Amino acid sequence: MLGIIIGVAAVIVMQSIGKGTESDINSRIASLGTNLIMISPSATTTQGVKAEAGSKQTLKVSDIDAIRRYSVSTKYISPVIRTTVQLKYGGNNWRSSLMGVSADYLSIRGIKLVSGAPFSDEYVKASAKVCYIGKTVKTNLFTEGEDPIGQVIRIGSVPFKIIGVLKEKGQSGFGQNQDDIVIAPYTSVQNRITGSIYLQQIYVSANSDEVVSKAVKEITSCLRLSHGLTEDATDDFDINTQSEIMETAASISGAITLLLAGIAAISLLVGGIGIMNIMFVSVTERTKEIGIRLAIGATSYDVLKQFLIEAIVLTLTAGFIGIASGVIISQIVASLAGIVTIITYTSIIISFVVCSFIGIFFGWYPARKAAKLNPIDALRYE
Amino acid sequence: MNTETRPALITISDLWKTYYSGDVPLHALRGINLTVKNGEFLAIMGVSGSGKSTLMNILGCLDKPTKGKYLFGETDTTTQSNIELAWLRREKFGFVFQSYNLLARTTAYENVELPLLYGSKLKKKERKEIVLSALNNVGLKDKIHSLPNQLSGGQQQRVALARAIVNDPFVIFADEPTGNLDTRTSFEIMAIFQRLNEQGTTIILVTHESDIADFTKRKIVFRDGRIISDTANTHPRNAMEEFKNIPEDDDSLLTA
Repeated sequence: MLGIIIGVAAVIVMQSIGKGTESDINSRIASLGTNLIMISPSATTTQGVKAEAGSKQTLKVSDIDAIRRYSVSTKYISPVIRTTVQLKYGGNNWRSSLMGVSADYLSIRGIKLVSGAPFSDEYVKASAKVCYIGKTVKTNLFTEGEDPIGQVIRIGSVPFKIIGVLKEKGQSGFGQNQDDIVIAPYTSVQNRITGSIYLQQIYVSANSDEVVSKAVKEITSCLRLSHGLTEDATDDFDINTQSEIMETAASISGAITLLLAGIAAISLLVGGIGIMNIMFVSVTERTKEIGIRLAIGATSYDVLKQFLIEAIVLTLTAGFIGIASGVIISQIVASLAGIVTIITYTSIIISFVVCSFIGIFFGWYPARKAAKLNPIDALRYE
Repeated sequence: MNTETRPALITISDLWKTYYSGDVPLHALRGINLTVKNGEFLAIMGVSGSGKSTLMNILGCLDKPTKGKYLFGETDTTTQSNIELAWLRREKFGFVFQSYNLLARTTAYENVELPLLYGSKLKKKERKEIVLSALNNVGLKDKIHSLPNQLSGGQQQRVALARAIVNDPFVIFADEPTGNLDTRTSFEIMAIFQRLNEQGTTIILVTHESDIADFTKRKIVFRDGRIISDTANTHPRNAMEEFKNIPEDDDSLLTA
């Protein structure tokens, strides 16, 4: 019986952790921006051999103009250039990520400012040496209470003036610290830091969730045109929508949940065997009683029914205790580990159903043995 | 009712029961012929191994004969399925055993109720009436909620008797019902049997004690699987009188 309690409790707890994590990841992915479309250069095929993804640079600034001009379902668009840089301010050093973007980027990603001036197109036009810093960068370069706005920091060897501080965002769904970042106009980054004309990514946001697939089609035709691809050439870029990312995440968490379910199933199996043993012992102990019942007029069917019901009651009781324990443990885990746990009604119902099934399945054999007893031998049993 | 004109309840013809020890056959019953009429009070006697218990098991449909016929009323029991035999036991038979055979963790009420629960269509209220009436009949109306371990041997046997009559059976089969009881209590129990017999129930009882057999109306003696004597007891002793003659040193009550 203990096996079943543990098995059921384990199912409930794992399910709740799994579901909680899943919905947590989903909401974090959703926080990236629901209509987000990400364009990256694709892995090139040189003579039939696929090279490493992103190995060839194919995205250019002219692509952005093309999309902006010809696509109707898209709203914001921003290039993305990423690089790791060493930041210096006074005696402080900090290694961080630098992102070169356009003004639309903050709207696409829903990034807000805590203080400072809004990102203007003028900065892009002028390749201005200005930047925004995230909270983690601020705490590592500046002392508490010091206002970074207007200060000049060195990005690599180039001086940039801080014109704003980004609002705290926390960890992304992929475990990255979103506050450990510096944002600058992409032209500034291209011209003064990386020296490359190619873009690592282009972020686009569609007008609404409904037109995302339409937007993807439009972008595809724009880019093919802009890259001069012939009809039979494959795309030299990859487009990922946020829903695709969510699907991937879902399938991963689905696989994990399945694994956990497998473990729980084994535990329940072991529990079921335990129940079967209990029932066998019970039948043996009550042989005389069964003999009495048969003598009085019980049919073997009556005896079978009696023991089967006892097995089911046993498993359902164990199941109930398991469910109750599982729910309590989920709450404890949630408060101790700070993870979100969600208890679904389906997991509870499935546990009950499975328990009844185990009761019937593993109680059957002992019950049948009881029913087949010969009344005379049973009565003589001491 | 005149004994002679009553219909035969039990007809046994050429009954054999054989066990096999390896290839060697052991005949527990050898070609038994027996007729029992409705309303008889019969004692089956014999030493251990004489076949009396084997016959009782077959009469009670707890066992099947190897050869021969057993007719209960007009039904040939040898052609009945196990389920049909179970119904027969439930509806027509009552059993009383030497070691009472009550269910240990159940009250007197629940023990007596048990036969009514199998396949019966009675409602709880109807069952209650019948159970209480049966317990009253054996003088235990104050002990309905007692567990077997709270009752004396005689009281437990009376519960067993109540259970045996709760379905209003044609026949009560009693296997050494007084075997575990002292003399005074034995007479008490036999008095109940005699009363039930007067009310019309057929009683077949196995015993090895001749003074118990003296309370019955017909004695059959077994030896080596055969009936060696079958005599009528024209003047059976009165158990109730004998019971009253023995000095009382416990406080079991019997309402006649």
